[in-house]
Amino acid sequence: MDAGLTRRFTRTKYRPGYSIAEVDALIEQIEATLGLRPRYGPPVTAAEVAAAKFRLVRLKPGYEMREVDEALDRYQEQLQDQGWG
Amino acid sequence: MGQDSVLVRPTIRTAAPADYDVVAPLVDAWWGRPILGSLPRLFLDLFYRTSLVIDGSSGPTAVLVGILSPSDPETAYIHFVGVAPSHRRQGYARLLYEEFFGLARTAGRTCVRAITAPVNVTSANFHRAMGFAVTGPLPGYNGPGHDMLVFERSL
Repeated sequence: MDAGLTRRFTRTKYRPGYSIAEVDALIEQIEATLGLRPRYGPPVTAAEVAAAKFRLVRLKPGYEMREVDEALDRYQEQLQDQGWG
Repeated sequence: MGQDSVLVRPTIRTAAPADYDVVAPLVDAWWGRPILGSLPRLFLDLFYRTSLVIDGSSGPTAVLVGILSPSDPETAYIHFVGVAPSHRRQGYARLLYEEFFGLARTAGRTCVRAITAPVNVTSANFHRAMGFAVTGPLPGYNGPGHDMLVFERSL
């Protein structure tokens, strides 16, 4: 995992947050689809991003849910702009 | 909860008219913008049997308000869906939709529809993920100045 991803969102602890590993994995897939990093797997569509699920974590650090949701909204628009609707 | 959660399938129940007084104060915060005007009491007073609720430890965390058209025997309609921010991305909306699809099929419906404002990009993409065809924005669909995206899916 590169440092850029781990600094992306506010960390949560002792309150619900999205699983860092699951969010990072999806964002890597999105950024690869957008051509922002090498792509080794299948592309991801905006529809798949909209329906993506994440485990909630409370005792371990997680990502601030609202920040992730807002970022994924922006990614969906970028994916659609590039024809990955 | 004493430990970090796994994605557990929640229980879905049929709505009741009394749910309105609990849900109405919540929906603006759930949507992040004023939406209560689209959910007057009549929907849960008159269509509660085709509406669905997921309860959390302190009340509803997700609601779907659906209708089986009394005029068109082929068509069901999803009027409103809301999920509490604390329960986003847990698959609740998908579960509510799938439950409603089953309910509508059992009632002999072959088509389900919904609409949303064009600004609601995530909703449009979610409906695509759920197998809906997306049409529009259709100018003036809900009257002058009220363009809408229209979703339709076979059941």
